[in-house]
Amino acid sequence: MRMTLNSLAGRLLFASALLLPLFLGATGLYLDRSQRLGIDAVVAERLQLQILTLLAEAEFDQTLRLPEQLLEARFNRPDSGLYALVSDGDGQLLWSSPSALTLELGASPLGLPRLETGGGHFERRDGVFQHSYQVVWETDQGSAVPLLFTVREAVEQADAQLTVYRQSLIVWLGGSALLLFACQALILFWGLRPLRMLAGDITNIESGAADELGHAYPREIQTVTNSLNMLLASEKKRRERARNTLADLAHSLKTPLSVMRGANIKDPDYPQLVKEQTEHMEQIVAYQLQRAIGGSHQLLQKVPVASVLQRLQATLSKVYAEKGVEMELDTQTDSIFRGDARDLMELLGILMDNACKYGKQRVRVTASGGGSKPLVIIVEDDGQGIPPELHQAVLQRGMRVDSQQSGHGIGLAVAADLVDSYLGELQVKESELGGACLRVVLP
Amino acid sequence: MRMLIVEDEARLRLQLARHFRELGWVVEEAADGAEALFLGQEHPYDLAIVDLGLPAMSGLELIGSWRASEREFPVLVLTARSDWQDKVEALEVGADDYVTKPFHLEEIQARVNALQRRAAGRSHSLADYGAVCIDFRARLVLLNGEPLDLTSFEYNTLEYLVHRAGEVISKTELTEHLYDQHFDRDSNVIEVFIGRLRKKLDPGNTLKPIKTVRGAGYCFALERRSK
Repeated sequence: MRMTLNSLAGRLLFASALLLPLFLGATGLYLDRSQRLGIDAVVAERLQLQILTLLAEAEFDQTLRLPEQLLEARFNRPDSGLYALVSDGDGQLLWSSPSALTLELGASPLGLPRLETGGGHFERRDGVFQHSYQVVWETDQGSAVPLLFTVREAVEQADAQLTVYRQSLIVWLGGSALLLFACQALILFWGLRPLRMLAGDITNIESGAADELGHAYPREIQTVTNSLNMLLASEKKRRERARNTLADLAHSLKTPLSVMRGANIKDPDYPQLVKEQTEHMEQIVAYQLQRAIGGSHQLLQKVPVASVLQRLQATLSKVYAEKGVEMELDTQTDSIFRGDARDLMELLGILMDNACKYGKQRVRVTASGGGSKPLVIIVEDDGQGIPPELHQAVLQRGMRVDSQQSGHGIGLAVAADLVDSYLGELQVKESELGGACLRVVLP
Repeated sequence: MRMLIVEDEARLRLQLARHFRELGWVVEEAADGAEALFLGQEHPYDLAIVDLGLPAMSGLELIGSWRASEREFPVLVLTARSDWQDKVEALEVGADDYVTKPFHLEEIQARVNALQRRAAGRSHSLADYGAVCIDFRARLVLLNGEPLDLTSFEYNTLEYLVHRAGEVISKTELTEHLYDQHFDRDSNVIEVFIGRLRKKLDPGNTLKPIKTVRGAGYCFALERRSK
């Protein structure tokens, strides 16, 4: 059972296996009842006709008389299943058809309510249909004699008809149930095909046979498959990034390692050389690690810029407490960055830290846009600024740390990398505060 | 001054401890967060250096717990991860500054000095008390412009008193901050150091830089000239 309920198709089929008999059973009961009522109505009408025929054949002159041979042959044959009785106003049996001779009839039809003249009563009782009809016979002498005509018919024939009907009903309803169930199974098989396709695609991705979910999927799961494809693409990009970082790292570390390995231990400059090269390696590691952080921004989150700026302001004012840097934030509260919160923190951390480090007293951060408009963040300080001839150099993406200068260099190259991975732009300008002005535009 | 170094890498911890002991600090060491939490709550430290990646309890949790139990000594964080998210989290939880590994000992020392100055409310490493002038960075005391020859313990005693200038510091507090926990607190060594300091700082007995408050302790009484 648990296994069944663990699959969508299993659940749906289980539910319909429960519901189908319920619905079809109710339908069957309804149809059966209608049929029975229909048969009763037909019998009642037929018996009424028999009574009317008997009335036409009857004569009353002191006593009731009916012909020896009645029109309806079954009345004449004993035990034929069709019987006629006539009783008087007191319920005294006056006449019975020849067919009724073998029956133990008793005095009169049992338990009948008193009927109005011209009133009829039909019922099924003790294995027979019985129809009674109350008439008043006006004699030639002018007196009125109440007579109760009753016709009884055995139920066997009607019941046999009903049994045949019921059997065919069961066959039809059972057949439709099986057909419906089979159709439902087919519909499910067809309807759930995209999910099986998805599972197959994922298996292919796992086995390395495919890079993405390649099939066209129906609208309902397309959002899921699109997101999965984006996730896969960004994961792939991230793997590539990590691989590149490692390759760059290995490559750039090998240079100082070769320098040290090739150096002469007995050389008096050896300690100095080792010191220089380890410092160099330290820079390389710092740069490459920082570079590896960004880049997972395919499923874009909405990050409020103001809160990141405030957290950084609180942090930096602690770090630069002694210097007493005055930091001014001018942000629109609804400025939104679409991407990884960590990337924004890293980008602004680098820019604001540089501003605090190289500025004298004042740092100003302005953020605007975001949402539908490009997000623009400007970080300015009142320090020395960056010489114009270096404006381009400090931002050169992928510039190997071997050729980097310390200070502004590493951080800004990482920041430029981050901005670039969001297809944005980082510009270096001169601030009206006197120092550097870093302008980030993120689309 | 008393310092706690919390670092699980033994070699690095010993290196740091040795460096600061040589500078005259009373250094205690902890190899994991739980031990550090206990020490921090038991002893009055003047500063702590905490590595963020610790066994038993992370550095962030440790600092958070100290701050929650109102341990307000400055905390310098060491971190191997250099992204801003980590730095911001550490400072938000109550750290005062951070240094990214690998580092130079000089860098740590500079940050420690800065934190100490900040804790004492000074913005410069030079304190001018007229005839007496102290250069905290160089650990040098000048009397009328001439450098005084002080032993490490004498300097530490003076530094602590100046650090809390104007306040009365009990002998117990001085002992706690200047000597390790095995020091015999009943000895009169503090009185001896105070006596020697007075002689060196005020040979003519005219300045009276260190006052004795009977039954309470000592107080650095000189007025500061400028920042």
